Amino acid sequence: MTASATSSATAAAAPVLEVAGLEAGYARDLPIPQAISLRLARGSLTAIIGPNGAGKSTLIKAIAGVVPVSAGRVTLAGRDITGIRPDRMGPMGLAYVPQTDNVFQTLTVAENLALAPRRTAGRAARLAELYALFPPLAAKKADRAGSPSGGQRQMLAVAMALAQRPAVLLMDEPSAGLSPKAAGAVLDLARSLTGQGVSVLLVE
Amino acid sequence: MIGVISYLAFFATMAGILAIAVLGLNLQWGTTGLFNGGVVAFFGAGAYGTMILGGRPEPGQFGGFEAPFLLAVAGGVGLAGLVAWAVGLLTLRLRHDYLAIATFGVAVAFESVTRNAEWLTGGAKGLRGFPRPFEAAVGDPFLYGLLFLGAVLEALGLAWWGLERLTASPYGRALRAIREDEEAARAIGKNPARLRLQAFVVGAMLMGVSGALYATFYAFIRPQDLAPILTFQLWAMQLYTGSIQYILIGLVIVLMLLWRPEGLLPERIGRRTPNRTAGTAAATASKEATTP
Amino acid sequence: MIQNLADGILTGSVISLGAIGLTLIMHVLRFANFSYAELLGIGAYAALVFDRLLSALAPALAAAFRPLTLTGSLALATVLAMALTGASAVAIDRMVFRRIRARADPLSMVFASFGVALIVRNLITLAFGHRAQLYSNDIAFAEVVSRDPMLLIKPGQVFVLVAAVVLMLALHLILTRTTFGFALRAVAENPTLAQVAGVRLAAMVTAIWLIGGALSAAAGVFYALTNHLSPALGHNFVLPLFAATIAGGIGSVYGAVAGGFPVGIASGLSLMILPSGYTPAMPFLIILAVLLVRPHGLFGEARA
Repeated sequence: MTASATSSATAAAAPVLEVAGLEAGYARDLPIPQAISLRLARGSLTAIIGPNGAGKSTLIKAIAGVVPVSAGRVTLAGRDITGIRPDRMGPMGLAYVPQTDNVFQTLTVAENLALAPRRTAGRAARLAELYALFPPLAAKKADRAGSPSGGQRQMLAVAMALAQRPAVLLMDEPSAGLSPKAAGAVLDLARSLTGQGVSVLLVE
Repeated sequence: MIGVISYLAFFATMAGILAIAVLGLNLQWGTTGLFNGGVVAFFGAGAYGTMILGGRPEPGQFGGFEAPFLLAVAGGVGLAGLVAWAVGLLTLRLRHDYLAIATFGVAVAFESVTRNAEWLTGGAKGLRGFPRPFEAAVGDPFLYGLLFLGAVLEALGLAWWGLERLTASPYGRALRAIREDEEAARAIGKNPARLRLQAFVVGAMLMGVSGALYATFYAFIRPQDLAPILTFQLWAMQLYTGSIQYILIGLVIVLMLLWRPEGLLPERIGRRTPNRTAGTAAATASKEATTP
Repeated sequence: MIQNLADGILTGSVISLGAIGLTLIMHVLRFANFSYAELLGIGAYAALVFDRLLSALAPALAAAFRPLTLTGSLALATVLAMALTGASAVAIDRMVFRRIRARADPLSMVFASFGVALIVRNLITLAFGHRAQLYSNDIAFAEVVSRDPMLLIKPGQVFVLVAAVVLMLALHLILTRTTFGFALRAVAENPTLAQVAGVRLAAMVTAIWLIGGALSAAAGVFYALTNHLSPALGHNFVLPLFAATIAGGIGSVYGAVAGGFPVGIASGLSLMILPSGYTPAMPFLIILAVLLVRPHGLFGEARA
């Protein structure tokens, strides 16, 4: 796999996320990334670009703890988080937005959002912030998350990921299946997050 | 001395008959990875089919066609195959455990038919069979017992040989391939659903053979012979009766799966640990369980 | 007709209670658990033991709430039995299923559940014997609700139906009003995404066993209260619970509730055309019918 990492900000200080020699995947039908290394600076936006089936998706799943890591290390703000459980990644400061099935369709928008900050301090305040950040979600609180448009579903998925105030946000093909307008909005959102100090790693 | 030998012959005959059903189970579960929760239904179909076709006419009783022995057995085995085909057709495309549930259901339904459809199955009092083939011609019960044992062992040997040939053949490799990786098997042009259905039906027919021989041996079959527990007595042959026995059988199953998941009759070629659960909750849940 | 329908609804409420936990287990742990229905047996017999203990310790509790045959001690015993059965379900998972799912395929789990069912059922037989038992030898007189068509209902049956509905409502409130409930529904829909969203899967699995065990215990007591206790109690519910689960779609709590009633009612109504001996086969016919029409259940989604 050829991964071309392009950082918008220069990695001057210590990187927020550092991946060293990562190899992952256990089923033979999954493309397996081999010896991948990358460093993410604080507030940077990094995109991994490569052909379909190159293993980009498996790479960020491995970083997020969804796919077992067979070799290498993932370090988040100096802490080794290699292969820890996905549910412990959030509190550590790493959030992940899967490409598909990234919201709970049988839950309402409000229930989806309430789920994420369950163990975050200042929960109510954080929820209010998120609704202020994404007004369309506030308008659809009581709707099932399966019903909003693709763009709004993606927005909900990102809001859920942001609920625990992550330092690093991983996004798997956030524009896939969206209209050009909605895709542009999601990318704008990703860019605006970097302004708030979040490092974004996305796969396209 | 003759008493001891004839007792041993009796025991060996029963073991041989049930071993044929175990071979069927091994084809389904061991080779193809299909769980059959209702072995007794197929065993029973063979037994009742044989009795109905080969039995003697009795007033108020359907059947008693006095068919020749081999024809009666073929009918019973065919019935077992037919039931398996119908159940398999409905469930084999679905999640793996639907088959387990449906076959368990077949066993329950089959048992209620044997207990209630008196006109067909004689109800709780059971079905009387026919004189065992050649018994009158042989005359001496001791000699006949040995001959019957010989015939059972021959049938067992034949079934074993046939399955060995089958599993060693490209067909058998295809069966194992779909058990291990259905997608890959499909990619090389195998039709997993059809292969599984075939293996399931063949296995069920072997259970039917076992049931047919069982009923012939006793010249009698009744619902109690098909208690659901028989499914597991095929794994652990009958030695004692009562609760303790069943607890032991249950323990054998659980312990075997805990320490020897590859089964009672492991394959000679090394079998990898299946990782069909890749990416599923089961895998992640266990992963979570092992990481502190 | 009306009588069969009323009896069917009652059985349906017991099946629905039992199927709630089974559908979650089947979806989240991905295996058909043949030992699950034995939890009804564990619950019913645990309540029997607690009832005898309590009424011996505190005779005042042994008085029945008229017109029910239900006594204070049995009501208390049921709550204790729910807790004990939930704990047993967790213990069985720790001892057997969790170890097996760590290294073998789901089919081994199915097989192991057969073994567990055998062990549980026969331990019950060993401890309590084969014969049928009753919580109370009081005779409950049925009320004639209507003579034409004939409809007889015992006060205990009404109580059971109400209690079952109350338990389901309580669960509904937990599922829709608490973040724990959201997490449970999230796990039921998509276990992997639930983990990504911060839900601890192992804790949820434990919670599912606890809830499933408790509801099953209640179902077992309710059934035994309106019928009788026997070691085959759990075994007799294996197929009805699966039928409710499949009809409702595996993984759907509301589907399990919605699926339980048709299974109970169909079994009740089948008595009008078939001799009672065939009742055990009815759930099987329902399973076949559902698989023919909607292979993934009436409310379910496609899943490989």
